[in-house]
This record gives sequence, C-alpha cells and structure tokens, in this order.
Amino acid sequence: MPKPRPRTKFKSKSKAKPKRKMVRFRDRAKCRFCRENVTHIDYKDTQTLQKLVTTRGKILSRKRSGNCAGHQRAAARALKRARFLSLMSYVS
Amino acid sequence: MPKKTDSRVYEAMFLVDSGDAASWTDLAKHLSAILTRSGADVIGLTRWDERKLAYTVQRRKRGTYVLAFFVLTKGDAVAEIERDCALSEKVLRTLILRADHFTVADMRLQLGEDIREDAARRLMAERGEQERAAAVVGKPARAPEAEAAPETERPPRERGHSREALEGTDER
Repeated sequence: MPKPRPRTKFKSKSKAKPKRKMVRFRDRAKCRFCRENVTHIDYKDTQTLQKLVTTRGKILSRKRSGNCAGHQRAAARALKRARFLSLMSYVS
Repeated sequence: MPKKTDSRVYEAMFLVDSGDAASWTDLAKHLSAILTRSGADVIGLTRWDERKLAYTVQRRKRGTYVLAFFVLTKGDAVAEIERDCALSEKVLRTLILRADHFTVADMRLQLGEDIREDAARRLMAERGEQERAAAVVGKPARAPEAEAAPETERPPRERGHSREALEGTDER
C-alpha cells in the first residue's frame, strides 16, 4: 500500500484566493471643504493648503484631493497666492 | 464723487525683511504711510508672522509678514499702493485682495490687539454689523480644519500607489 503523501504547506496556485482588487481612491459623499461648510479658502492657512499638495509641492488633482470643482478652484487660487508670498513652495 | 457705500475692504499682506521688522514702529509707520497716502482708512496693521521662506526672495531666507486691513473708496488706489510698495526698499512682496467676506470680528481675530477701534467701529456702523453675531461666524475655514486634521484621509490614498510612486511617473 502506497504511503500517503505528506501534506504540504503550499496550496496549488489554482486554489489560491483571487487577489482583492485594490481601491485606489475612495469615493466620498462630500469634499472636505463642503463637509465643513467652508465658503472661503484662505491663502494664509498653510496647514490646510499643505494637505492639498504633493511632497514636491504640486497641486493634487481633484481625484486625489477629493475636492468638489468649486473648492478645487478656490484651493488652487489660494495656493497660488501662498506661493507668490513664499508661504508655499513652487517646487522642491 | 464716490458715495459712501462704494467703500470696499481690502486686505494686504506685505513681506518685509526681518531686519527691517526689528524696528517695528518705524516699519508700521512706513507701511501705514503708504496706505494712507492713497486715501486708505486703515483698520489695522499687524505683524502676522516671522518665518522661513519657502524659497529665497531677494537673497533672503527668512522674512516677516505684515497683515493689514483697510477701506478704500476708489479702486485705482490699489494700483497706487502696489506701485509704492514696489518702490519701497523695505517691502519684498505685496498681495492686496478684496476682503469684503471678512466680518469685523474676523479681522479682530487676525489683527489681535493691533486693530484700530475707531476705524473698526466706523466699518461696523456702515455695514450694520453686530459684534456678537459676527464673532460666532468667526473663521470657518481655519479652526475646524486644523483640529480635525483628517489623518483618516491618508490611508485610502496610500493603499494603492504611494505618493512617491505616483509622482515618480510624471517626473523626468
């Protein structure tokens, strides 16, 4: 009688669970400024503006920042004002 | 002759050399002279911050920011102020914006003790503003956003491609 094959740790590839599809951007109901009912984005508020740029200082796209169209325009305007005053960098 | 109702509130941010800002009274006098020369009614002039600049401006690595609020009755005075600032050797950068959306309470929050009460009261009377009601509105843009620093927003962004990975793609 043949010996039973020892059980291995490794399962065959075909039985591997399918990889979960990665979710890159989660949809939100509202943009971060809409949630706070912000009417004006201040160029002096560098803490907020810092969250809307990459480490290089580039403005995040709407898809990445999650902003609505109006607030994205306002944020970009505020950011460019902050850049002019050397509060934020153009490039780094 | 412009009517009284034509007056508009402006905010100005001046970037000045930190050395010049050391003698604050001289600098304040210099800047308010520039503003009043063009017929501005200065609500307040304050030293906003002294910080490291994001990039060098006229070979300076640090600078002092001076924030001012003022009322103008004619719009072309803005150009006059900008020209005067450009000619001034103390002022490195100037940004003048309309500030009609700020209530007097907002300005008080930003100016602190440097607000000129008579000018502020005049503006409030003109606008028919209530001190208490305005104070509640406050500055919506800043306070809640700063406190609720949404760390919760980070993870979804980094789960897929990290920032660096995404950036690397469009660099050359």
